[in-house]
Amino acid sequence: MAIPANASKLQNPVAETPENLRDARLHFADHCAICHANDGSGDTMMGRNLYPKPPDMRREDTQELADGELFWIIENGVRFTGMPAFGGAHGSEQDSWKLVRFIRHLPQLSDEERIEMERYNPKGPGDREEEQEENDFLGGAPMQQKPETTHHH
Amino acid sequence: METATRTKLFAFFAIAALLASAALAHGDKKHVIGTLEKINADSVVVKTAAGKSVEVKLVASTTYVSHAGNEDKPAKLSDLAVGDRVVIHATPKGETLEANEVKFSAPTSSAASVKPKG
Repeated sequence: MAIPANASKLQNPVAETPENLRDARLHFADHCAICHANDGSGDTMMGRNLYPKPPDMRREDTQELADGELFWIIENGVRFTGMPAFGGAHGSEQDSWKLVRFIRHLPQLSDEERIEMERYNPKGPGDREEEQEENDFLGGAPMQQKPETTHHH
Repeated sequence: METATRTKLFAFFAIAALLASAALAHGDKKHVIGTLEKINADSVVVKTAAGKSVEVKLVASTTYVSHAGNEDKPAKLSDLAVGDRVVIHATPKGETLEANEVKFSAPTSSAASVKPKG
């Protein structure tokens, strides 16, 4: 990675409030989790098949980076990897700083937070229909005999 | 653009597309849906609509979610009971399936209210 030396000196201007963390959590679920997974492990169909794979962001390799370095990566991407630049026209710096707060929170992500995030993960019409069928079944609808389903996640 | 350059570009994208589709084919997960027939320490057996008994391994990373009404809540293995309705998202590992998430609900009241005769 070619992060400029002065990036590590940047301070996060976004306060660590429950509202900011929730904004970032839902933003992450919608935009980042497809590769990084809701828990930051990178254990998704996209994450597992990227080369190089995204890091497990709960671990030291990511957590030991300075806030400014994480911000720089979100804004500028990582060259020769699947990580694009989300800065400039794609999003506000405020959102990136909120994401830095959320990345710091990943090692303590609770099950309640993860379940909430699942509702915000991008899904196609087929996935939504299937999720509805599964919830209907769990809610008491009769079990329908269908061929065994296999899905990309 | 010269023909040779165009051919090289086409070949590059064709190979990239082939590699991508091969990678995606290895990302499959299975959904096992049915009622819980048996609960072991490290696996569960699910009776599917087709009448098949499917064993799914439980691992340390398996998460449990209880579904009631329209709400999902975190749960644990000990909350599962034989007869529960389950939707398991699992990853095939060789000949076995490893559960990523076990979502379950108690049997519906109409089914639960059926008592054995006698």
